Amino acid sequence: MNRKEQPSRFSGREALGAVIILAVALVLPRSGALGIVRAILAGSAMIVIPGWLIVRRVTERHDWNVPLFGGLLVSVATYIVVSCVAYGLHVHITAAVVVIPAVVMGLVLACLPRTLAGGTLDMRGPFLAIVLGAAAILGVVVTHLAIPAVPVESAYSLSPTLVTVSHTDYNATIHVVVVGHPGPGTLTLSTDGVNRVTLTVPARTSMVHLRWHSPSGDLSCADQYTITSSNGAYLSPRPICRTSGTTLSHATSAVRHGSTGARATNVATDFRRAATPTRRRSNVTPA
Amino acid sequence: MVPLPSSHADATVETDRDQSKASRASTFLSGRTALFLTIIFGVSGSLLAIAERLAATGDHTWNFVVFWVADLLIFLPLAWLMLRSHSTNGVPVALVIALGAWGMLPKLVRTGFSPTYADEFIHFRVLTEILRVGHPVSDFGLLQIGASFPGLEILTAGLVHVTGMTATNASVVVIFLAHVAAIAGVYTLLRDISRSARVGGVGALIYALNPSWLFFDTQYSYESLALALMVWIWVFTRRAVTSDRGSTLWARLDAWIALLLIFALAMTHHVTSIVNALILLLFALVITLRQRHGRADVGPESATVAWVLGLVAAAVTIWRIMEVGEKIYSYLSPIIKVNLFIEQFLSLVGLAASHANRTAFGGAGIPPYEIIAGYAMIPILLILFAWGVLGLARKLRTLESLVIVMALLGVAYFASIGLLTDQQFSESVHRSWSFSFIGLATVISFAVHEHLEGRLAINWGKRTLWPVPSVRPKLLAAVAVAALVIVDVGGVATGTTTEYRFGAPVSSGADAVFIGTQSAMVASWFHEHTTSHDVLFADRYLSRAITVVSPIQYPLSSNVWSLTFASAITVNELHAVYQEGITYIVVDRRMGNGHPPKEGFWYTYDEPHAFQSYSVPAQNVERYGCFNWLNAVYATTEYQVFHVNRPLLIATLFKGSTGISAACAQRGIT
Repeated sequence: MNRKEQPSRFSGREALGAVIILAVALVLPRSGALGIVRAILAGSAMIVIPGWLIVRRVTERHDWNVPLFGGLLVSVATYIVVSCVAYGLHVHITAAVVVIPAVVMGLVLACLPRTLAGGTLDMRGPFLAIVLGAAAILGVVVTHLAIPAVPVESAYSLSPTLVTVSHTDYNATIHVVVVGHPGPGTLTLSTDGVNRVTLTVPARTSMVHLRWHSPSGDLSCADQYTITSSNGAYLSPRPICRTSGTTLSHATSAVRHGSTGARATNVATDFRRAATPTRRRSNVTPA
Repeated sequence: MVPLPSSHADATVETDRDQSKASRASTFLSGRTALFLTIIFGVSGSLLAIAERLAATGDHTWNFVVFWVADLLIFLPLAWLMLRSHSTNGVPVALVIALGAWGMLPKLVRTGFSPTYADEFIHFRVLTEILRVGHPVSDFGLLQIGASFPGLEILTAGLVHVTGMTATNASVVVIFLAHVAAIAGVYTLLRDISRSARVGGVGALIYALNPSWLFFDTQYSYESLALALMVWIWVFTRRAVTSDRGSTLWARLDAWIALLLIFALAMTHHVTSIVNALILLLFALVITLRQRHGRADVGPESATVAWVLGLVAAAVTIWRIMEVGEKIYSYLSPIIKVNLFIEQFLSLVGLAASHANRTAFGGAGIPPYEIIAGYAMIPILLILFAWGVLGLARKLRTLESLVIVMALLGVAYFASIGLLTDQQFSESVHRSWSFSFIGLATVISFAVHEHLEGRLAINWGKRTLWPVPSVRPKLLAAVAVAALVIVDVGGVATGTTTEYRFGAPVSSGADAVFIGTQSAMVASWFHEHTTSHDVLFADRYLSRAITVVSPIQYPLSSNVWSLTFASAITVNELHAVYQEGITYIVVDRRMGNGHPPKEGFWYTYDEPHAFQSYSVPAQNVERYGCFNWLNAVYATTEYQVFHVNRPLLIATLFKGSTGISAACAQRGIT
């Protein structure tokens, strides 16, 4: 190595090149073949090139692994540190992650004395590494695609889409999804531990309507209705209460058990939590 | 090993005995060798895919054999090529990087691009939170500590934003690069301190034998990136500290780079940051002590730079630990109980009672030869390490200070073995090997190089213990190959569970193999129906599958567990459900079929029945269908999803009852 500091072959062109690559990449679409090009270009411009340009200032040219991997980690570290600082300053990482680290590394690069190590870059080493790595990956992929696929776990699922109760009728529409499985077999409706009606579900049925008519007309929304499959999977959705087609009570629909209702209930009743400031979930909007 | 004079300061210039063999150094691999290597890498990749496919369809014999053929197809030829590498013509480093790339494949073949291992789900959750809200959400019950060290996820989120890749693809790219960078860093570190590509290559190969390298260190988890950062901190610190590089400018820039990496490491992983700080401080101490004893080849300012970097690393680490506070203490407290540490060590010599409550390889389901290799690798490594230390001891004055520090790090491997049978320390012991193997790799690769150069001699009084004249080189080579194979097989066998290594038919209650159609169905349902204001109580397995697709939160307290474990429910359990804000509960009905979860129900040290292979009574599982405040809103073949009717729960609490239906009560369910 010639340890004397040499006139640099570096000019702003390389840094500018990296910025141009990044800019071009960012306008490319995110999917399709151009998406792959974008991923490679933008990824290189973000975590390979900046660090490479910095670390190669302190490395022999033929010692390619140091600027490549050491430089990679310099880029990575810059993004991590800058983003954490941004987070501390309440700047969203989505905005900070691209611009600020790139600016920081560009400034560093501009401030560095223009020295460059001697030696030549022998591309045979990187080429060998790429060929061997690619051969291994190709071996995996080709074999993976060539041999028969592993059978997936056979299963089915049940979810209620509409459940209503009137004084005389219980109606439930159940959505069934099967994957390599004959399905639930039978569905049995029971109330308070007493079986009321059983329905055989043909294989590959996706929608099941379960209906029970009570001649005595003594059905109530307050009862616990359970629909059980032949292997023990069961549903006990809250029904919508009706009489003669008119909704009487406003019990939440079984299919509306999701987020909004749950959140409102959660917040409205959560007075104890509100009194405990150290708890998490402080982002819950007060009711 | 004779250090270079400072005038010949290039860390990468050939310095081995046959430096004069310029023609040899200038030749790259022959075309035939390169073709042979390409073929074996391809074949090895193909065999890895076949091994995984055999395992996934239920084979538990041939998958191991095929896997080991694939593995040894890489390690044996590479070991041969590393040993005969005399030059820095680019071959050893290319092989090391190819090895690093290959090292990702067993894990990727096993898991694909989706999160599969327990920790991966947690880190994906942090990643999705960053992508969703722009910053890490630092507090949710499932992950106590990871969100406070979001370096990995911040980087991945950046890549997602910039490249347009999916989060899963970006995560694989990040870990792939980190994995290759880590082993390239080990190579560079050892090559720099030895000025021999052979030491670098052999050392990297030995490091790749560490039990965590193939599976644990390739997962999407913070230590996978942190390891790479740590190794490169050591590379740049050593370059900044050692005065043989001639240029002050270079040394300064190296120091600044090390400093940057130190800060990034502190944001990425706690334990690695602590280990890094300790090693840097030890490095500074060794340099100072050696300078006081008149070692001339360490420059006058090196100790100052080493101390500055070491103290900064310590200060940043302490700052981060204090910033994270209680969470890091509760996370690390099981493994920092010094009295238990000492007692367990004393028990090895009969001076205290052992806490051993774990059987090595218990229930591992691996072939006997792997278990034998797992045990045999310890004495083999001990012999090799002792051989290396004794061989290098007489060259102590000429060795770089970092070699001494690495030797001390290598000792940690043997010290950790005594804690392996203690359940509380077992996990930490396994994880420590990623660090201590760098020490083993340093000492053994140095000794191997010295031996091959004919410079390794061990004397006992007037007797020469090494080299042994009567031992033929071919016999020695055969022993070396056997040792390599045993450490390779034993390392992987001791590294992770079989479920982490190979797929299998879907099975509940076990990490990595619980994932299947049903877990996907349930996760998908939660994705569609829940928000960040919902709170889920489920076992550790399904919680993880749901956590990456839904912003749902998790209970912070453990008292809700008794909803499953208690033989009789009281209002206390209902109050816990209320107080934790739980809106959904998922139950695996197989828990009640004598099917104990392998890794525990929730897997924390204070969990009732943790590590006891406890099977939940069938009645406790059936009980979930009895509460009037729970509605079963979704079901798969084996999973039940319940929605908590909170108004009814509160009403039930006010009544002072538990809400168990009369029909269930008649069946004796309480």
